[in-house]
Amino acid sequence: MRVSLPYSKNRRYLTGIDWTIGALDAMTRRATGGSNTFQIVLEIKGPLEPARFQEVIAAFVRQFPVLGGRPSRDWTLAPYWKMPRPGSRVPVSVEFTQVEGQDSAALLEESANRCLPDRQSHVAFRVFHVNVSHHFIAVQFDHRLFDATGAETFLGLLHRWAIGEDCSAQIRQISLKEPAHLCDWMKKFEAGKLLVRLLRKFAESPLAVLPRPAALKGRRTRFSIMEFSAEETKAISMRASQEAGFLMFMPYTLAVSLEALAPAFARRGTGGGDYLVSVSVDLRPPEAAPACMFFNHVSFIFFQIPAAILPDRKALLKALRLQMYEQIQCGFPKALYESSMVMRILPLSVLSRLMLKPLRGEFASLGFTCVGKSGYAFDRFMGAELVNLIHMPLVPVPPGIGFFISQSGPKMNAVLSFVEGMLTDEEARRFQDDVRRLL
Amino acid sequence: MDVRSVIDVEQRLIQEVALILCKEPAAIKPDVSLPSLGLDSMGFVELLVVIEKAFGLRLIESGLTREDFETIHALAARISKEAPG
Repeated sequence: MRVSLPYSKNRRYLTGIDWTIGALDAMTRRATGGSNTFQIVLEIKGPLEPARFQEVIAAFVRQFPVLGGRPSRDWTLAPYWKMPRPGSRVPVSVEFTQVEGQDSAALLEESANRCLPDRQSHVAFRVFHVNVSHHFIAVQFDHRLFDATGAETFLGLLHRWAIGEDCSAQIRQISLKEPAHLCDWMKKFEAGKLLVRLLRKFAESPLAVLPRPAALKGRRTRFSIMEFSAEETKAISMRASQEAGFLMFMPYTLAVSLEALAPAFARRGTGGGDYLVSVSVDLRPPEAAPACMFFNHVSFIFFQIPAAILPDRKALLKALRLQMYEQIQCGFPKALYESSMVMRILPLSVLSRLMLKPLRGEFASLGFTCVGKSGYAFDRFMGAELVNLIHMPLVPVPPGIGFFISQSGPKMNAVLSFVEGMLTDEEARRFQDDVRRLL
Repeated sequence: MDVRSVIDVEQRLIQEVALILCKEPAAIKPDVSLPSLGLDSMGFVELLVVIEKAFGLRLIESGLTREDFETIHALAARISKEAPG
Protein backbone atom coordinates (compact mmCIF):
# COMPACT_ATOMS: atom_id res chain seq x y z
CA MET A 1 0.00 0.00 0.00
CA ARG A 2 1.31 3.41 -0.86
CA VAL A 3 0.46 6.23 1.50
CA SER A 4 1.06 9.62 -0.04
CA LEU A 5 1.50 12.45 2.34
CA PRO A 6 1.78 16.09 1.43
CA TYR A 7 5.06 17.70 2.38
CA SER A 8 4.48 20.15 5.12
CA LYS A 9 6.32 23.38 5.54
CA ASN A 10 6.83 22.98 9.25
CA ARG A 11 8.27 19.49 9.18
CA ARG A 12 11.11 17.57 7.63
CA TYR A 13 10.65 13.82 7.89
CA LEU A 14 13.59 12.01 9.41
CA THR A 15 15.16 9.10 7.55
CA GLY A 16 16.01 5.82 9.25
CA ILE A 17 19.65 6.93 9.42
CA ASP A 18 18.67 10.20 11.13
CA TRP A 19 16.70 8.11 13.64
CA THR A 20 19.67 5.73 14.11
CA ILE A 21 21.95 8.71 14.83
CA GLY A 22 19.33 9.78 17.38
CA ALA A 23 19.47 6.29 18.92
CA LEU A 24 23.28 6.57 19.19
CA ASP A 25 22.66 9.85 21.03
CA ALA A 26 20.28 8.06 23.44
CA MET A 27 22.81 5.24 23.90
CA THR A 28 25.57 7.70 24.76
CA ARG A 29 23.38 9.73 27.14
CA ARG A 30 22.50 6.52 28.99
CA ALA A 31 26.12 5.35 29.20
CA THR A 32 28.10 8.49 29.96
CA GLY A 33 25.59 11.31 30.27
CA GLY A 34 27.21 12.96 27.22
CA SER A 35 25.57 13.33 23.84
CA ASN A 36 26.17 12.57 20.19
CA THR A 37 27.82 15.85 19.22
CA PHE A 38 31.01 16.68 17.37
CA GLN A 39 33.24 19.70 17.29
CA ILE A 40 35.04 21.25 14.34
CA VAL A 41 37.97 23.49 15.25
CA LEU A 42 39.11 26.22 12.88
CA GLU A 43 42.58 27.46 13.79
CA ILE A 44 43.05 30.90 12.27
CA LYS A 45 45.83 33.48 12.13
CA GLY A 46 44.70 37.06 11.68
CA PRO A 47 42.29 39.50 13.24
CA LEU A 48 39.00 38.44 14.81
CA GLU A 49 36.81 41.13 16.27
CA PRO A 50 34.34 39.60 18.78
CA ALA A 51 31.50 42.10 18.26
CA ARG A 52 31.57 41.68 14.50
CA PHE A 53 31.91 37.89 14.79
CA GLN A 54 28.85 37.75 17.06
CA GLU A 55 26.90 39.99 14.70
CA VAL A 56 27.78 37.85 11.66
CA ILE A 57 26.81 34.60 13.41
CA ALA A 58 23.49 36.08 14.60
CA ALA A 59 22.58 37.28 11.09
CA PHE A 60 23.76 34.05 9.45
CA VAL A 61 21.85 31.62 11.66
CA ARG A 62 18.64 33.63 11.16
CA GLN A 63 18.71 32.26 7.58
CA PHE A 64 18.20 28.74 8.94
CA PRO A 65 15.13 28.33 11.14
CA VAL A 66 15.82 24.57 11.02
CA LEU A 67 18.50 25.25 13.67
CA GLY A 68 15.71 26.00 16.13
CA GLY A 69 13.77 22.78 15.46
CA ARG A 70 13.29 19.60 17.45
CA PRO A 71 12.31 15.98 16.76
CA SER A 72 8.64 15.06 16.90
CA ARG A 73 6.33 12.31 15.65
CA ASP A 74 3.55 12.29 13.11
CA TRP A 75 0.11 10.63 13.40
CA THR A 76 1.50 8.06 10.92
CA LEU A 77 4.28 7.40 13.48
CA ALA A 78 6.89 8.78 11.06
CA PRO A 79 9.35 10.91 13.07
CA TYR A 80 10.07 14.38 11.78
CA TRP A 81 12.04 17.51 12.60
CA LYS A 82 9.59 20.17 13.66
CA MET A 83 10.51 23.58 12.29
CA PRO A 84 9.90 26.57 14.55
CA ARG A 85 7.35 29.21 13.60
CA PRO A 86 8.63 31.86 11.16
CA GLY A 87 10.37 34.64 13.03
CA SER A 88 11.22 32.45 16.04
CA ARG A 89 14.58 33.00 17.69
CA VAL A 90 17.31 30.57 16.58
CA PRO A 91 19.22 29.59 19.73
CA VAL A 92 22.96 29.70 18.97
CA SER A 93 25.43 30.70 21.63
CA VAL A 94 28.75 32.45 20.97
CA GLU A 95 31.41 32.61 23.70
CA PHE A 96 34.83 34.26 23.78
CA THR A 97 37.70 33.28 26.08
CA GLN A 98 41.26 34.61 26.40
CA VAL A 99 43.60 31.62 26.64
CA GLU A 100 47.07 33.09 26.23
CA GLY A 101 49.68 30.77 27.72
CA GLN A 102 47.21 27.92 28.30
CA ASP A 103 47.30 24.42 26.83
CA SER A 104 45.11 24.76 23.72
CA ALA A 105 44.71 20.98 23.27
CA ALA A 106 43.29 20.64 26.78
CA LEU A 107 40.94 23.61 26.26
CA LEU A 108 39.63 22.20 22.98
CA GLU A 109 39.12 18.79 24.57
CA GLU A 110 37.17 20.38 27.41
CA SER A 111 35.09 22.31 24.88
CA ALA A 112 34.31 19.18 22.82
CA ASN A 113 33.04 17.49 25.98
CA ARG A 114 30.70 20.28 26.98
CA CYS A 115 27.00 19.78 26.36
CA LEU A 116 25.20 22.18 24.06
CA PRO A 117 23.83 25.06 26.17
CA ASP A 118 20.28 23.64 26.26
CA ARG A 119 18.00 21.09 24.61
CA GLN A 120 16.86 23.67 22.03
CA SER A 121 20.41 24.44 20.81
CA HIS A 122 21.97 22.44 18.00
CA VAL A 123 25.08 24.55 17.27
CA ALA A 124 27.41 26.48 19.61
CA PHE A 125 30.43 28.66 18.82
CA ARG A 126 33.34 29.05 21.26
CA VAL A 127 36.21 31.33 20.35
CA PHE A 128 39.55 30.94 22.13
CA HIS A 129 41.87 33.91 21.67
CA VAL A 130 45.51 32.86 22.00
CA ASN A 131 46.58 36.41 21.09
CA VAL A 132 45.31 39.20 18.83
CA SER A 133 46.24 37.30 15.70
CA HIS A 134 45.83 33.64 16.68
CA HIS A 135 42.47 32.08 17.51
CA PHE A 136 40.73 28.72 17.72
CA ILE A 137 37.04 28.73 16.77
CA ALA A 138 35.42 25.58 18.15
CA VAL A 139 32.01 24.91 16.64
CA GLN A 140 29.97 22.22 18.32
CA PHE A 141 27.32 20.48 16.21
CA ASP A 142 24.37 18.29 17.17
CA HIS A 143 24.90 15.11 15.12
CA ARG A 144 21.14 14.74 14.70
CA LEU A 145 21.17 17.83 12.50
CA PHE A 146 24.59 17.68 10.84
CA ASP A 147 26.98 15.04 9.57
CA ALA A 148 30.69 15.80 9.08
CA THR A 149 30.45 16.94 5.45
CA GLY A 150 27.27 18.92 6.14
CA ALA A 151 28.97 20.76 9.01
CA GLU A 152 32.01 21.61 6.85
CA THR A 153 29.66 22.90 4.15
CA PHE A 154 27.80 25.00 6.75
CA LEU A 155 31.10 26.60 7.82
CA GLY A 156 32.03 27.24 4.18
CA LEU A 157 28.74 29.04 3.65
CA LEU A 158 29.30 31.03 6.85
CA HIS A 159 32.69 32.16 5.55
CA ARG A 160 31.22 33.28 2.23
CA TRP A 161 28.41 35.10 4.05
CA ALA A 162 30.87 36.83 6.38
CA ILE A 163 33.02 38.20 3.57
CA GLY A 164 29.95 39.66 1.90
CA GLU A 165 29.37 37.20 -0.93
CA ASP A 166 25.82 36.81 -2.18
CA CYS A 167 24.83 33.38 -0.84
CA SER A 168 21.11 33.67 -1.52
CA ALA A 169 21.17 31.19 -4.42
CA GLN A 170 22.89 28.51 -2.35
CA ILE A 171 20.64 29.12 0.64
CA ARG A 172 17.56 28.76 -1.59
CA GLN A 173 19.01 25.55 -2.99
CA ILE A 174 19.20 23.86 0.44
CA SER A 175 16.69 21.06 0.54
CA LEU A 176 14.67 20.56 3.70
CA LYS A 177 12.20 18.22 2.06
CA GLU A 178 12.14 14.52 2.71
CA PRO A 179 9.21 12.20 2.03
CA ALA A 180 7.75 10.22 4.92
CA HIS A 181 9.03 6.98 3.33
CA LEU A 182 5.82 5.14 4.15
CA CYS A 183 5.79 3.07 0.97
CA ASP A 184 7.64 0.16 -0.67
CA TRP A 185 7.46 -1.88 2.54
CA MET A 186 8.47 -5.13 0.81
CA LYS A 187 11.65 -3.47 -0.43
CA LYS A 188 12.42 -2.28 3.11
CA PHE A 189 11.81 -5.74 4.61
CA GLU A 190 13.98 -7.40 1.93
CA ALA A 191 16.75 -4.90 2.73
CA GLY A 192 16.27 -5.78 6.41
CA LYS A 193 16.84 -9.48 5.65
CA LEU A 194 20.21 -8.64 4.10
CA LEU A 195 21.15 -6.66 7.21
CA VAL A 196 20.11 -9.48 9.56
CA ARG A 197 22.10 -12.04 7.52
CA LEU A 198 25.22 -9.95 7.84
CA LEU A 199 24.73 -9.29 11.57
CA ARG A 200 24.29 -13.03 12.18
CA LYS A 201 27.56 -13.67 10.37
CA PHE A 202 29.34 -11.07 12.53
CA ALA A 203 27.90 -12.66 15.68
CA GLU A 204 29.37 -16.10 14.86
CA SER A 205 32.85 -15.16 16.15
CA PRO A 206 33.78 -13.49 19.42
CA LEU A 207 34.23 -9.75 19.02
CA ALA A 208 37.44 -7.97 20.02
CA VAL A 209 36.42 -5.04 22.20
CA LEU A 210 38.28 -2.81 24.59
CA PRO A 211 36.70 -3.12 28.04
CA ARG A 212 35.01 0.06 29.16
CA PRO A 213 35.40 1.25 32.77
CA ALA A 214 32.64 0.02 35.10
CA ALA A 215 31.52 3.52 36.09
CA LEU A 216 30.99 5.40 32.83
CA LYS A 217 28.74 8.21 34.02
CA GLY A 218 30.40 11.58 33.70
CA ARG A 219 33.44 10.23 31.89
CA ARG A 220 34.72 12.57 29.21
CA THR A 221 36.03 11.72 25.77
CA ARG A 222 39.80 12.02 25.31
CA PHE A 223 41.34 13.07 22.00
CA SER A 224 44.64 12.29 20.40
CA ILE A 225 45.16 14.64 17.44
CA MET A 226 47.69 13.95 14.69
CA GLU A 227 48.36 16.70 12.16
CA PHE A 228 50.21 15.91 8.93
CA SER A 229 51.86 18.50 6.69
CA ALA A 230 51.03 18.78 2.99
CA GLU A 231 54.27 16.91 2.12
CA GLU A 232 53.56 14.13 4.64
CA THR A 233 49.99 13.83 3.34
CA LYS A 234 51.19 13.53 -0.24
CA ALA A 235 53.69 10.83 0.73
CA ILE A 236 51.00 8.89 2.65
CA SER A 237 48.69 9.08 -0.35
CA MET A 238 51.45 7.69 -2.60
CA ARG A 239 52.17 4.82 -0.20
CA ALA A 240 48.43 4.06 0.07
CA SER A 241 48.24 3.85 -3.70
CA GLN A 242 51.31 1.59 -3.95
CA GLU A 243 50.41 -0.74 -1.10
CA ALA A 244 46.62 -0.85 -1.09
CA GLY A 245 45.89 0.12 -4.69
CA PHE A 246 44.74 3.17 -6.57
CA LEU A 247 42.12 5.20 -4.64
CA MET A 248 42.36 2.80 -1.68
CA PHE A 249 43.23 5.53 0.83
CA MET A 250 40.40 4.61 3.20
CA PRO A 251 41.30 0.88 3.48
CA TYR A 252 44.97 1.81 3.88
CA THR A 253 44.39 4.22 6.78
CA LEU A 254 41.97 1.77 8.38
CA ALA A 255 44.59 -1.01 8.16
CA VAL A 256 47.15 1.22 9.86
CA SER A 257 44.76 2.22 12.65
CA LEU A 258 43.93 -1.44 13.36
CA GLU A 259 47.61 -2.39 13.44
CA ALA A 260 48.35 0.49 15.80
CA LEU A 261 45.45 -0.30 18.14
CA ALA A 262 45.93 -4.08 18.27
CA PRO A 263 48.59 -4.00 21.05
CA ALA A 264 46.14 -2.23 23.40
CA PHE A 265 43.51 -4.91 22.74
CA ALA A 266 46.10 -7.67 23.23
CA ARG A 267 47.28 -6.22 26.56
CA ARG A 268 43.72 -6.54 27.85
CA GLY A 269 43.40 -10.09 26.58
CA THR A 270 40.59 -9.16 24.20
CA GLY A 271 42.55 -9.11 20.97
CA GLY A 272 41.95 -12.72 20.00
CA GLY A 273 38.51 -12.28 18.46
CA ASP A 274 37.44 -10.58 15.27
CA TYR A 275 37.79 -6.84 14.94
CA LEU A 276 34.50 -5.40 13.73
CA VAL A 277 34.79 -1.87 12.41
CA SER A 278 31.84 0.32 11.42
CA VAL A 279 32.78 2.76 8.68
CA SER A 280 30.50 5.62 7.74
CA VAL A 281 29.90 6.07 4.03
CA ASP A 282 28.70 9.33 2.49
CA LEU A 283 25.70 8.64 0.23
CA ARG A 284 25.75 12.16 -1.25
CA PRO A 285 27.41 12.75 -4.59
CA PRO A 286 30.03 15.52 -4.09
CA GLU A 287 27.98 18.12 -5.98
CA ALA A 288 24.94 17.52 -3.75
CA ALA A 289 26.68 18.49 -0.48
CA PRO A 290 25.61 22.18 -0.54
CA ALA A 291 21.94 21.25 -1.03
CA CYS A 292 22.09 18.43 1.54
CA MET A 293 23.81 20.39 4.30
CA PHE A 294 21.43 19.52 7.12
CA PHE A 295 20.67 16.08 8.60
CA ASN A 296 22.56 12.85 7.97
CA HIS A 297 23.25 11.56 4.48
CA VAL A 298 25.43 8.62 5.40
CA SER A 299 25.20 4.87 5.74
CA PHE A 300 27.67 2.30 7.04
CA ILE A 301 29.71 -0.65 5.92
CA PHE A 302 31.27 -3.11 8.34
CA PHE A 303 34.64 -4.82 8.19
CA GLN A 304 35.21 -8.05 10.11
CA ILE A 305 38.91 -8.74 10.50
CA PRO A 306 40.27 -11.84 12.26
CA ALA A 307 43.04 -10.88 14.69
CA ALA A 308 45.34 -13.47 13.11
CA ILE A 309 45.75 -11.50 9.88
CA LEU A 310 46.57 -8.14 11.51
CA PRO A 311 50.34 -8.65 11.45
CA ASP A 312 50.24 -9.35 7.70
CA ARG A 313 49.63 -5.95 6.03
CA LYS A 314 49.16 -7.49 2.58
CA ALA A 315 46.52 -9.97 3.79
CA LEU A 316 44.83 -7.27 5.86
CA LEU A 317 44.55 -4.89 2.90
CA LYS A 318 43.26 -7.68 0.68
CA ALA A 319 40.57 -8.59 3.24
CA LEU A 320 39.51 -4.94 3.59
CA ARG A 321 39.32 -4.44 -0.18
CA LEU A 322 37.33 -7.62 -0.73
CA GLN A 323 34.86 -6.94 2.08
CA MET A 324 34.28 -3.42 0.81
CA TYR A 325 33.73 -4.81 -2.69
CA GLU A 326 31.34 -7.54 -1.54
CA GLN A 327 29.25 -5.17 0.58
CA ILE A 328 28.94 -2.64 -2.22
CA GLN A 329 28.20 -5.45 -4.69
CA CYS A 330 25.30 -6.72 -2.57
CA GLY A 331 24.10 -3.15 -1.99
CA PHE A 332 24.63 -3.22 1.76
CA PRO A 333 25.00 0.55 2.45
CA LYS A 334 21.76 1.30 0.57
CA ALA A 335 20.02 -1.72 2.15
CA LEU A 336 20.96 -0.46 5.62
CA TYR A 337 19.65 3.00 4.72
CA GLU A 338 16.40 1.49 3.39
CA SER A 339 15.79 -1.05 6.16
CA SER A 340 16.43 1.51 8.91
CA MET A 341 13.24 3.29 7.77
CA VAL A 342 11.22 0.47 9.35
CA MET A 343 12.92 0.98 12.72
CA ARG A 344 11.63 4.54 12.99
CA ILE A 345 8.50 3.21 14.66
CA LEU A 346 10.58 2.46 17.77
CA PRO A 347 11.20 5.09 20.42
CA LEU A 348 14.88 6.05 20.60
CA SER A 349 15.35 4.43 24.02
CA VAL A 350 14.08 1.08 22.65
CA LEU A 351 15.93 1.31 19.34
CA SER A 352 19.21 2.12 21.09
CA ARG A 353 18.86 -1.10 23.17
CA LEU A 354 17.72 -3.20 20.19
CA MET A 355 20.73 -2.11 18.12
CA LEU A 356 23.00 -3.83 20.66
CA LYS A 357 21.10 -7.14 20.68
CA PRO A 358 22.70 -8.93 17.70
CA LEU A 359 26.25 -8.49 19.04
CA ARG A 360 25.41 -9.18 22.69
CA GLY A 361 25.61 -5.64 23.99
CA GLU A 362 28.30 -4.41 21.62
CA PHE A 363 28.17 -2.38 18.43
CA ALA A 364 31.70 -2.64 16.98
CA SER A 365 35.34 -2.80 18.07
CA LEU A 366 36.01 0.63 16.58
CA GLY A 367 34.18 3.38 14.70
CA PHE A 368 36.06 4.69 11.68
CA THR A 369 35.42 7.65 9.40
CA CYS A 370 37.46 8.92 6.48
CA VAL A 371 35.92 12.12 5.14
CA GLY A 372 36.77 12.40 1.46
CA LYS A 373 36.86 15.79 -0.21
CA SER A 374 36.39 18.49 2.42
CA GLY A 375 33.16 20.47 2.33
CA TYR A 376 35.24 23.51 3.37
CA ALA A 377 37.07 24.64 0.23
CA PHE A 378 38.76 27.85 1.44
CA ASP A 379 42.19 28.67 2.82
CA ARG A 380 40.81 31.64 4.76
CA PHE A 381 38.05 32.11 7.32
CA MET A 382 36.36 35.48 7.69
CA GLY A 383 39.39 37.46 6.60
CA ALA A 384 41.99 35.44 8.51
CA GLU A 385 44.35 32.71 7.31
CA LEU A 386 42.97 29.22 7.98
CA VAL A 387 45.82 27.23 9.51
CA ASN A 388 43.89 24.02 10.11
CA LEU A 389 40.41 22.52 10.33
CA ILE A 390 40.17 19.63 12.76
CA HIS A 391 37.25 17.34 13.59
CA MET A 392 36.84 16.25 17.20
CA PRO A 393 33.93 13.80 17.29
CA LEU A 394 32.55 12.26 20.48
CA VAL A 395 32.23 8.55 19.72
CA PRO A 396 28.96 6.91 20.75
CA VAL A 397 29.17 4.40 23.60
CA PRO A 398 29.51 1.54 22.70
CA PRO A 399 32.08 1.22 21.16
CA GLY A 400 33.45 4.36 22.87
CA ILE A 401 36.49 4.50 20.60
CA GLY A 402 36.85 5.85 17.08
CA PHE A 403 39.39 7.02 14.54
CA PHE A 404 38.59 9.92 12.28
CA ILE A 405 40.49 11.07 9.18
CA SER A 406 39.79 14.34 7.40
CA GLN A 407 41.43 16.77 5.02
CA SER A 408 42.14 20.44 5.56
CA GLY A 409 43.29 21.76 2.18
CA PRO A 410 46.37 19.70 1.24
CA LYS A 411 46.87 18.52 4.84
CA MET A 412 45.48 15.47 6.60
CA ASN A 413 44.38 15.23 10.22
CA ALA A 414 43.84 11.98 12.10
CA VAL A 415 42.03 12.01 15.42
CA LEU A 416 41.64 9.15 17.88
CA SER A 417 38.82 9.69 20.35
CA PHE A 418 38.02 7.37 23.23
CA VAL A 419 36.12 7.35 26.48
CA GLU A 420 38.42 8.23 29.37
CA GLY A 421 39.87 5.09 30.90
CA MET A 422 39.64 2.87 27.83
CA LEU A 423 43.25 3.66 26.94
CA THR A 424 46.00 5.00 29.17
CA ASP A 425 47.82 8.22 28.23
CA GLU A 426 50.88 6.12 27.44
CA GLU A 427 48.84 3.88 25.09
CA ALA A 428 47.36 6.91 23.31
CA ARG A 429 50.87 8.32 22.87
CA ARG A 430 52.15 4.99 21.58
CA PHE A 431 49.19 4.80 19.17
CA GLN A 432 50.15 8.21 17.76
CA ASP A 433 53.76 7.13 17.30
CA ASP A 434 52.73 3.86 15.66
CA VAL A 435 50.27 5.55 13.28
CA ARG A 436 52.96 8.01 12.17
CA ARG A 437 55.47 5.17 11.72
CA LEU A 438 53.05 2.83 9.91
CA LEU A 439 51.47 5.41 7.59
CA MET B 1 29.17 -9.33 -24.80
CA ASP B 2 29.99 -7.54 -28.04
CA VAL B 3 31.19 -4.20 -26.77
CA ARG B 4 34.98 -4.42 -26.88
CA SER B 5 36.59 -1.49 -28.68
CA VAL B 6 38.32 1.01 -26.41
CA ILE B 7 35.93 3.74 -27.53
CA ASP B 8 32.85 1.65 -26.79
CA VAL B 9 34.18 0.64 -23.37
CA GLU B 10 35.09 4.27 -22.69
CA GLN B 11 31.57 5.43 -23.53
CA ARG B 12 30.08 2.84 -21.21
CA LEU B 13 32.45 3.86 -18.39
CA ILE B 14 31.57 7.52 -18.88
CA GLN B 15 27.89 6.65 -18.45
CA GLU B 16 28.61 4.65 -15.29
CA VAL B 17 30.89 7.25 -13.68
CA ALA B 18 28.28 9.91 -14.45
CA LEU B 19 25.66 7.77 -12.69
CA ILE B 20 27.87 7.24 -9.63
CA LEU B 21 28.69 10.96 -9.36
CA CYS B 22 25.18 12.13 -10.34
CA LYS B 23 26.65 14.26 -13.14
CA GLU B 24 25.82 14.67 -16.80
CA PRO B 25 27.91 12.31 -19.00
CA ALA B 26 29.14 15.39 -20.90
CA ALA B 27 30.87 16.53 -17.70
CA ILE B 28 32.94 13.34 -17.50
CA LYS B 29 36.20 13.68 -19.43
CA PRO B 30 38.00 10.38 -20.15
CA ASP B 31 41.47 11.88 -19.75
CA VAL B 32 40.85 13.52 -16.39
CA SER B 33 41.98 11.49 -13.36
CA LEU B 34 39.21 9.70 -11.45
CA PRO B 35 39.93 11.53 -8.15
CA SER B 36 39.75 14.86 -9.99
CA LEU B 37 36.34 13.83 -11.31
CA GLY B 38 35.28 13.34 -7.68
CA LEU B 39 35.61 9.57 -7.17
CA ASP B 40 36.80 8.38 -3.75
CA SER B 41 37.42 4.83 -2.46
CA MET B 42 33.70 4.01 -2.27
CA GLY B 43 32.83 5.45 -5.67
CA PHE B 44 35.80 3.64 -7.22
CA VAL B 45 34.68 0.31 -5.77
CA GLU B 46 31.17 0.98 -7.10
CA LEU B 47 32.75 1.40 -10.52
CA LEU B 48 34.68 -1.87 -10.16
CA VAL B 49 31.41 -3.65 -9.29
CA VAL B 50 29.80 -2.24 -12.44
CA ILE B 51 32.81 -3.36 -14.51
CA GLU B 52 32.43 -6.94 -13.26
CA LYS B 53 28.74 -6.89 -14.15
CA ALA B 54 29.21 -5.33 -17.57
CA PHE B 55 32.48 -6.85 -18.74
CA GLY B 56 32.97 -9.96 -16.59
CA LEU B 57 36.25 -8.69 -15.11
CA ARG B 58 36.84 -8.85 -11.35
CA LEU B 59 39.46 -6.14 -11.07
CA ILE B 60 39.35 -5.72 -7.27
CA GLU B 61 41.68 -8.71 -6.98
CA SER B 62 44.18 -7.23 -9.44
CA GLY B 63 46.98 -4.91 -8.37
CA LEU B 64 44.84 -1.74 -8.88
CA THR B 65 47.88 0.10 -10.20
CA ARG B 66 47.66 3.83 -10.78
CA GLU B 67 48.74 3.45 -14.44
CA ASP B 68 45.80 1.17 -15.29
CA PHE B 69 43.14 2.99 -13.31
CA GLU B 70 44.05 6.68 -13.24
CA THR B 71 41.70 7.77 -16.02
CA ILE B 72 38.66 6.37 -17.79
CA HIS B 73 40.75 6.14 -20.94
CA ALA B 74 43.43 4.00 -19.25
CA LEU B 75 40.79 1.82 -17.64
CA ALA B 76 38.98 1.33 -20.96
CA ALA B 77 42.23 0.24 -22.60
CA ARG B 78 42.80 -2.38 -19.91
CA ILE B 79 39.22 -3.66 -20.05
CA SER B 80 39.20 -3.95 -23.83
CA LYS B 81 42.45 -5.94 -23.64
CA GLU B 82 41.36 -8.32 -20.88
CA ALA B 83 37.59 -8.72 -21.07
CA PRO B 84 36.46 -12.16 -22.19
CA GLY B 85 35.32 -12.42 -25.83
